[in-house]
Amino acid sequence: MDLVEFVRNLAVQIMIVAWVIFLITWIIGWVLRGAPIPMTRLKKTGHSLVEDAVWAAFWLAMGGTVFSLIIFIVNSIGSPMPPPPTNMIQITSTP
Amino acid sequence: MPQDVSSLLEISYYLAFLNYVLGSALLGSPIPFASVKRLGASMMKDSITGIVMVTGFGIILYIVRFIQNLLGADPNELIKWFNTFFLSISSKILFLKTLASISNPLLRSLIDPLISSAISLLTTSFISLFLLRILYILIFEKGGILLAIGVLLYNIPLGIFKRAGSLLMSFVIISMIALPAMPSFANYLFGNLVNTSNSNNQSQNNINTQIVYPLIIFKDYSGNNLSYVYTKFFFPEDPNKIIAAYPADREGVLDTRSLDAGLPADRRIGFRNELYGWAFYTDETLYFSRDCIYTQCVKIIKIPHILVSYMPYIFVHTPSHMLYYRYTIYINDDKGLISLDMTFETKDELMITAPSTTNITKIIINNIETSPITIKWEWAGLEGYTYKISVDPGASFSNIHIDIYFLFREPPKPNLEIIRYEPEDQVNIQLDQFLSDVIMTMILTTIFPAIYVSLITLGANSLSRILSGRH
Repeated sequence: MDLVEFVRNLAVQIMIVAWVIFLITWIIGWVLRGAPIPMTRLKKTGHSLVEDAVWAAFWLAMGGTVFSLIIFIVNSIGSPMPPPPTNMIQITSTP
Repeated sequence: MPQDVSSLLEISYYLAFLNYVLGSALLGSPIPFASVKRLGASMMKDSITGIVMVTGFGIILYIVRFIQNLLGADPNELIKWFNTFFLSISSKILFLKTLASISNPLLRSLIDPLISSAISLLTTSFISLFLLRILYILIFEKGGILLAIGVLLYNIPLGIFKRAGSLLMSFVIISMIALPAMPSFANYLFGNLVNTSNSNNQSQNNINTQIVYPLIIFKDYSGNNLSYVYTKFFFPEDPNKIIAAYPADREGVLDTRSLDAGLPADRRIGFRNELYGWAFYTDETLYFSRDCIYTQCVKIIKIPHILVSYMPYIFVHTPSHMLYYRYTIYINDDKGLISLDMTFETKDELMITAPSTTNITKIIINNIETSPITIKWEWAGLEGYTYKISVDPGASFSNIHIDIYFLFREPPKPNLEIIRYEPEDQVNIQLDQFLSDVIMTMILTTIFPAIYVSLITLGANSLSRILSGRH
């Protein structure tokens, strides 16, 4: 198997796993927040989990945009050295 | 394995993306530890830096080239520098090898330790120069690939090889900028020694002490080889001081290498020959250039006074030149006949020299048997006779025909002393100069580059700290 292919597939698979993890984190966070346990620390943990999950999901969804923005900025400064893989954006936009 | 830069960069790109995804997964994972979240966040940051490196690869190379031009550093200068030193070191080692061939025991005991230490210094210089050459090839021919490998290592997820990658990248970048500037720095620090250490002036000083081992062949005027010719060498400015004296072998060949008897290189040498009690003088001089150190030069010396010979049994010679002569030699077992037809202009003498093992039976001039004047000679443990014939073209003949009949046996080998050429006084003058030159070469090729490369490494380390985000 091609090394490039392997790394790309791995990234895609991990991305899917990451989405599942966010969902789990988000659920756990809300469960902790809404649990009838009268401990503020627990509630705070739950809150932070929800917050992190939302931020992580946001950055993951923005990943393609962030990368293409960087590529655009760098390429507009200098001449493009390696042609960036074009199918990258398609992959990131289909979670 | 991917070999070229673009495929390495492609992998780096996806690795950076993988790093980003992993970082966000860690950030969003339900593990309630702050360190995990921090790791995730730093991985995302690293991946962004990595992407900048991948896409800005061309810009990095451009900046490196820009600074190279700014410093006025030319990689070709470095190659020239290497070649100069390679040449200088190898010529020095050759010179030392030549010096080591001196056979004077007293001189040897003095210079042997110096020679061995100088050779070890030069060998060290050679090895370090070789390593620098390898570094040069790595940096300037494989620099792009090395840089790409650095980017790839940097982008491996979890930041495992981040430090290694940034070190590699920094080393390549700093070396690309600083390495070509090394010769100009050396020139700045040590003066223009890089060029003077190999200048003509310097090498000419060394040449006088060098010895050549040529092959000299002695021939008579008609082209036959002359056995056992004893040659005394001297410098033309002082003809009385014999610097060397070597005998030729039975074939008339003087192989100075097999006698371990050299002659000075790059100097005019005068010589005179001795053979069977006679000495032959000439204005001719010998000159062996330094090239003869590496290849054995062959020199043919014709002794014009000897007209014809059948050596080592007999030769016919005259004090002056003939207008015209022709000869034939007939040899039948141990009986021989030399016939000469010649034209004389003035009154002259013809001499026939032979060792006592050769018995001259008859000398016939124009069909009249002649009894010549006999002169006895002793030379190098041999003895024999020279027969002198007077010819007077004004009296009765200008064209004469001479037949010399002789019986011959092998004469004993003459016992000739070998005086070897010893360039000792010159060695003493040049040696300190030479040694300081060797030490300077050592400093310029080993110590200075070692300091320089360690400074490069130091700079690379600082740059890698900036790249890997640890201050």
